[in-house]
Amino acid sequence: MKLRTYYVLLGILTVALSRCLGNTTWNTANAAYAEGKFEQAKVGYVQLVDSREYSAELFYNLGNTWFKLGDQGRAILNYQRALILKPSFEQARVNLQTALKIVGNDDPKTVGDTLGAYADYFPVVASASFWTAILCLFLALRKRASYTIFFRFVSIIAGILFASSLAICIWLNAGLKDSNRALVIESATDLKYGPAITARPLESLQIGQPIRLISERGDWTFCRANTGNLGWILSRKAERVVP
Amino acid sequence: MNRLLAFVICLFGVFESALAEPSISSALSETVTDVDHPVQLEIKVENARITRPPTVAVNGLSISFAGTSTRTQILNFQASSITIFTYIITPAREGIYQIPPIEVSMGGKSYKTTPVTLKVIHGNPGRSATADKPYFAELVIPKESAYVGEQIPIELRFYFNERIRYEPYPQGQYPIIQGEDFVTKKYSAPTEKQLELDGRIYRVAIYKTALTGVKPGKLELQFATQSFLISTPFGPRGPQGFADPFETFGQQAVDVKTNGGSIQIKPLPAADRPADFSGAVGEFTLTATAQPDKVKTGDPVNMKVEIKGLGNFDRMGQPTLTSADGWHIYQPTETTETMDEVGLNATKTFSFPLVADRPVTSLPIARFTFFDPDSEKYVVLKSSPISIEVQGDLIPKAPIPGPTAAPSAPAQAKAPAVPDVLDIEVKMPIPATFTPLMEQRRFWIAQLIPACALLALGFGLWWRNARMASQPLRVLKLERRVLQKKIKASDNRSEVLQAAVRLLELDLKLQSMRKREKPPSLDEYIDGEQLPTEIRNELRDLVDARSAWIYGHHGAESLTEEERSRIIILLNRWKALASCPRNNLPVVATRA
Repeated sequence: MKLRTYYVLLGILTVALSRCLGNTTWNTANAAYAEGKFEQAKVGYVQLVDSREYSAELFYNLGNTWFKLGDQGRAILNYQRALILKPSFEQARVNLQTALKIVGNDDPKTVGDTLGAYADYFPVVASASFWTAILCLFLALRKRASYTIFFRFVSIIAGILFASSLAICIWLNAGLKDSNRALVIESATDLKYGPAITARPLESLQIGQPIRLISERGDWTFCRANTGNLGWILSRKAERVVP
Repeated sequence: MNRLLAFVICLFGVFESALAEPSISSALSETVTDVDHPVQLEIKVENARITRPPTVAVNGLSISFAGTSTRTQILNFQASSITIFTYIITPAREGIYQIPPIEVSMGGKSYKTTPVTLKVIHGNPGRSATADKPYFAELVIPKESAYVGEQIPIELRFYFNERIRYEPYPQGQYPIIQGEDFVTKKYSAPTEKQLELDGRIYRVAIYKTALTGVKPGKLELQFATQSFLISTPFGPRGPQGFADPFETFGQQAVDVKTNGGSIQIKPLPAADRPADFSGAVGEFTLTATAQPDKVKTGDPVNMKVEIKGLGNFDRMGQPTLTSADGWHIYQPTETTETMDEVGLNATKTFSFPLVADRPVTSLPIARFTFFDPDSEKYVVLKSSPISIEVQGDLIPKAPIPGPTAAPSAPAQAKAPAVPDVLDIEVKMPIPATFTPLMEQRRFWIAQLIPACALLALGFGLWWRNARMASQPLRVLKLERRVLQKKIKASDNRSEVLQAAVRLLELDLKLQSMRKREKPPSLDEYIDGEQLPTEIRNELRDLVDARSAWIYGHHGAESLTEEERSRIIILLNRWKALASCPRNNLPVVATRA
């Protein structure tokens, strides 16, 4: 009994300590940013990212830091990450637009990208509508049921909603949280026919352009650009959106 | 066996074919045609192998080789091979043309076709220059003069005879306008119309775009050209309205040119030009909205400035925000929603992120300047003041202030050179995960809650229904227990007798309910043949005693223990009988 209590206390202490340390790093990085010490702020934020304490605010601040350091590619990447974690993050959206405008990326968003940002919402809608449909069907089909027409109507509506949400879920899959989705973070990135500097370029990729990674070979990654072209890029010129 | 037969026939055919005499002939699909209306020439070579098409050339006719086809046939055990060389002949001018004999050498001998004559007519001389052409194009310019930067909608119309099939070549190719000192907008997807011109029906491919002169002077548009792959039918025209399913077509790539045109491009007046004029030419309206209307200092406010109208949206600069004291203005995002296919009529929305650094009561005023070519003067649009409630304390300036704060003087309200980003978040971050919700365990665990609730609801309803169904049975059983207690405990004879009889009645009722039958009355049951005589008599005595007591008005009388034990024994025997099947009633001896 005593041993168990000791372990529980130790666990609580560890969690509390890590939270305190995390808060300290967060506050230190924020203070460094406010003082204009962007390099120092970056180190703090990256430390939090490395410890997998992900949050929309963390990636937003890290995006701002990269922006101030003049690396628009990584700024765009981190704003995207912030928006994936919190699609309603208006400040991140504004800053992302600003950064995209600076790098001259004016590609319109595809329907898949727009819906993909809300990929986590559709399973909730599908689940809620499924259980509503089942409940209403149960209430409509039982003996001596009252409001039968109402429950049948609701179950049909919920059923349609469930089917459509499920279809979207299947279509979107993980949405923007797809682990193979990456963004181009450096300028002068060419999609090439082969994994070599001398290979003929197929397409010029813009900073912030999404690509889908397929396989890696040495310093090169085989990928599909959002234009549909397949080719090779230098691995360091793109980074996965999901860290 | 069949294969062998076929082989022999083939061999025979080949042998016959080798012996058959070669021949050559030529034929035209039409002997009379219009200028520019192509006809097909076929040179047919029989029973000889020729791979190279013979050369055909006639002055005044454009002759191009279209292809070769070869076939072998066996007719009445006689095989023959036929090679057909096809040419497309397009006459350039009217006249009578003779295609001379075409000479071909086969097996050391020379063979010639017979000459054929083609008559080319020019159609009705009263018609316009284009009326006889199978295809032509025109450039439609609605204005003769425009200002620098003003967008002029133009149309490029490509007319094709209704019998000609056409498609842009290569696919997706758009027309090219020859000229200098102008820019065009992206072409809209071509639309097709059917028009009647000089009594002929044409299918017209219409490309729409807008043209903008970039410097003053006379803008000369030499012509516009577009390549098409056209399929022209051979042979005589069928009756009007009936398509011939076996009609043959010849394909060729053609460049279709339009006429030229000119537009006088006027310079924008320098007089009275506002300092914040950014190059917008057209006719516009401006509206401004903001959300939310109640914020704290430091919170972002999204101010949307919508510019709607007809003009050069792609050369339009952002509006300036004036009276912006207390506001920190960031670089706006722009979206353009076009209302027509070319994009002349559109709505451009500028979304300004604003942050108030002290309590203020109104938003900045948006100001936009453009040149109206109709009234030929500059117009300044201003948004109406928008009230807002900003509460909170004064926020000190950010370490690196955004360079986009707009000064109140419009002359200095230029767009910022380097855009800035909104400030960082300092509140404690809320942990989040990149794992998709569908792959998270908590999502599937959460599904157990409605599943369990639904199961509980189902079980609850079943339980309630079962309870309701068994309620009469439970009431009877309860009464039975009360009666049993009364028989054992009461000293009042009448009470015990009544309870005993009621108990017998209840037993009958319970038994009937279990068997879902109508319960017989106690008297009927006793008088029936089911019970052994001894028990029947005792039960009759008990019922009679109860009746005698009730109707005899004997008053209260105490029960003897002997009588009670007799009743109890009787009831036990009754119970034993009642628990057995009715058709096989045993007599059970029970102890008192």
